[in-house]
Amino acid sequence: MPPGSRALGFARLLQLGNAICGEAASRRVIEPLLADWQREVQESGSRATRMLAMTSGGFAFVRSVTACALVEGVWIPPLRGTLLSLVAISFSIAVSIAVLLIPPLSARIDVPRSLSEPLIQRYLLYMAGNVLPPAFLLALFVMRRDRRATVRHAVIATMIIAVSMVVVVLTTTFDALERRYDTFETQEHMREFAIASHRAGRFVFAGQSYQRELTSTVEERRARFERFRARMEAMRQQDPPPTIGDRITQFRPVALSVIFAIMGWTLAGLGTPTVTRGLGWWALMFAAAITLTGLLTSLIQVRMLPAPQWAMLPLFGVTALALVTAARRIPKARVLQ
Amino acid sequence: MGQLPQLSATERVIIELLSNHQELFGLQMVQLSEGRLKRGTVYVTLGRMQEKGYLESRQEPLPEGAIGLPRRMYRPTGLALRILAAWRTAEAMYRNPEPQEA
Repeated sequence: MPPGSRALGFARLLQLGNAICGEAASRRVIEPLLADWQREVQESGSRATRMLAMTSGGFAFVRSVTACALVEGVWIPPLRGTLLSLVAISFSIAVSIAVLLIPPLSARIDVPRSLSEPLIQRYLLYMAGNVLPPAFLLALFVMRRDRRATVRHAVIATMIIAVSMVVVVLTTTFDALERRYDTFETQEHMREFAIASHRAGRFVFAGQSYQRELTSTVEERRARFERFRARMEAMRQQDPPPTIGDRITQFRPVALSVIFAIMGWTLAGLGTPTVTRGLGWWALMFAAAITLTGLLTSLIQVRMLPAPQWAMLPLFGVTALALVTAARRIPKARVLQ
Repeated sequence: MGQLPQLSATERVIIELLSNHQELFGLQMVQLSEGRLKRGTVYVTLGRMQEKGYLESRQEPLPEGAIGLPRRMYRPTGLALRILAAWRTAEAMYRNPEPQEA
């Protein structure tokens, strides 16, 4: 081993300690640990004692860094930045809901656009994975407006976002929503809307089915619903198990959320993080996301070429990578001008 | 009158060791503690004790030509020694209470 290379290794560990625990805590806790460890390794005579010193020191380093990071609280984002992020997410969700409610949900049945309607809830939850990710661009962008926010806080916020999105994805799958909303009561509710639409002159029931529907009893309808459920369940049993590709597609919103979070933090660092700039970037990415998910087609009611959904991850991933690279290359002094 | 400052078991071991040896490195304390101090937690405790004002520290001057990080030597403050003495007295009184006069 060339002279000084081990000292360089310890210096790198000190840098790691600084990054994880903060400089003040690292000076107080990690630096003495590394100094003792380094001397122990230097003074160890045989290869066996050196290995022992390396191992026990390594464990002590990991344990101390972990304890220090937890105790020092340098990973807890500042309150103002956190609140700004929460406001940004709420704003983005509100706009997303408004946008999702623009297109008519059904051409034939007039469902009121009320959030208390189960059909509306189901539709919004089903679309959550498509429209939520850009919200995290704005969230991390405005978090950086708080001057106390550091990269550590961005990392923690991104991890929380990823976990939250995993929960969203798992609770808004087609099956999960069907279990929650596909009940006899919901069917009855929809039947009332269908009858009202039929009476209003919209074509809903064909032939004699309207009369049959009016004269049917609750028991008959319940039996019909149970038969339908059983048939759907039998069909589901025959479905092939999901492939790796299906899984990747299912969890794409999680990856996109992380990518947008990174983009938001990086974009805020490339200039003054004003709210106007943040909203501009968010609007741009939101528009790109709804275009690529095919939502734009139903919004403007114009048939377009099928959106290349597979392109979302590589496209936004490469954009985020380019932004991070640019942020590392541009000198800080120039950015702050 | 203020409350007697709290002293955890680990903090007490550290102050006792330092009161016997004047000045020690973190790793030396672990070696002298006969298993009562753990290498993975002693530095966090030492850092906390410094913040509380129980310990002072200084960096060991590096030998000529040596490279790397200088080791940090710890010694107890007067406050730590007073707290240790107070706890020892309180402990002794708890174990051997004087008989109450009738």
